[in-house]
Amino acid sequence: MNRSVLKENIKVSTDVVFKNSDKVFESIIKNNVPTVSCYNESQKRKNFAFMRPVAVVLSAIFVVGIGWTVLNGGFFIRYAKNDMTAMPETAENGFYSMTAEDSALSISIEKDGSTTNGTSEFTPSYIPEGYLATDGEYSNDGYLVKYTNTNGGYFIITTNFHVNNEVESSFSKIINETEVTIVTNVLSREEAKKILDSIY
Amino acid sequence: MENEKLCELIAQISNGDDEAFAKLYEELSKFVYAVSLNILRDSFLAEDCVHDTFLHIKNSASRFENGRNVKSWVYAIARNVALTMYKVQKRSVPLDDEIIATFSDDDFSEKSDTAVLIRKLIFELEQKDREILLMHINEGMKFREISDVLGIPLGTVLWRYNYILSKLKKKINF
Repeated sequence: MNRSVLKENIKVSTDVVFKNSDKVFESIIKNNVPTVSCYNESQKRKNFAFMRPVAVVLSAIFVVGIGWTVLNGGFFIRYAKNDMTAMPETAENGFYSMTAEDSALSISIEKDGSTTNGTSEFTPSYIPEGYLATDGEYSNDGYLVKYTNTNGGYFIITTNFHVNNEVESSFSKIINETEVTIVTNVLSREEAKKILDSIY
Repeated sequence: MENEKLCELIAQISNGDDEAFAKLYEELSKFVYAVSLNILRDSFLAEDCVHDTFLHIKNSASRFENGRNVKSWVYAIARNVALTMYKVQKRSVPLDDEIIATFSDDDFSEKSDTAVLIRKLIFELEQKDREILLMHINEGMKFREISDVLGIPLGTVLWRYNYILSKLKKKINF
């Protein structure tokens, strides 16, 4: 079958029979209303067409809001979970204390020149091996939190979120008592690095 | 009927001339029915579509730009109405694909075996392909007009038309 014959056959095959043409015309003249299934829907869509850009804007705000909450809220949630009530302040005498209560659940930081609750003082040199350090933020791995103070020095605060089996006995003891206070000195960058390097 | 005469009818309809409307209906109702049937594949829905299409033509005749191709304009209206109807039907009644695809052979004039076969093959095509084919072969629309109505590039229309014909030829000759 060549193309022109095919085209002719297509025309003939698909030639429709509009049986109820007259009835449809009568219906158009009598009922000046479109069939419900058709126009009402398209009219509804037209009426609510303005909602589409509104929906896009609201969705964008929602997504941005969620993103901001995750980025910022996650930080706060982490701190809230760990119950960090205060951030370290500028060192005056260079000593800060952090009390950990109920291991892995809460930590409070206070500016305190002396020990609290009868727990031991630790100088940075007592930071045991096996502890991890993070740079400038709290770490969920737990062991060390490193902060910079406004004088530009570094200090290291240990936490007791997780117990390393190789931790020194003094830490183990403290952790078993579910309470630890770590006192740190303000360190120079080199001293902090040395301690951190000795840890890794 | 020439486009010029159709444009005159549209102008008269916009002035409320019912006779002009009847003439236009006589001229184009079968065309609109064919378009509707092609998309909806149900003669009852197609009749509803014809009803709504002409109602829309009557209500928007005043907005018709004189000189424009009337058939393309009517085709576009009928197509939109049919597609809307199809979507609404699909939402309100879970339609079985088989129901959508069936229509009576009484809807068509030619009933020979070849005609039935060709019709079956054509209705197995994708909707847009079928539209391109029928718009050009049955309605005599130019490819540029088809491109405007369907909103697809002219090159695509040409390519698809040739591809469809080759495909049909292969299947029929097989």
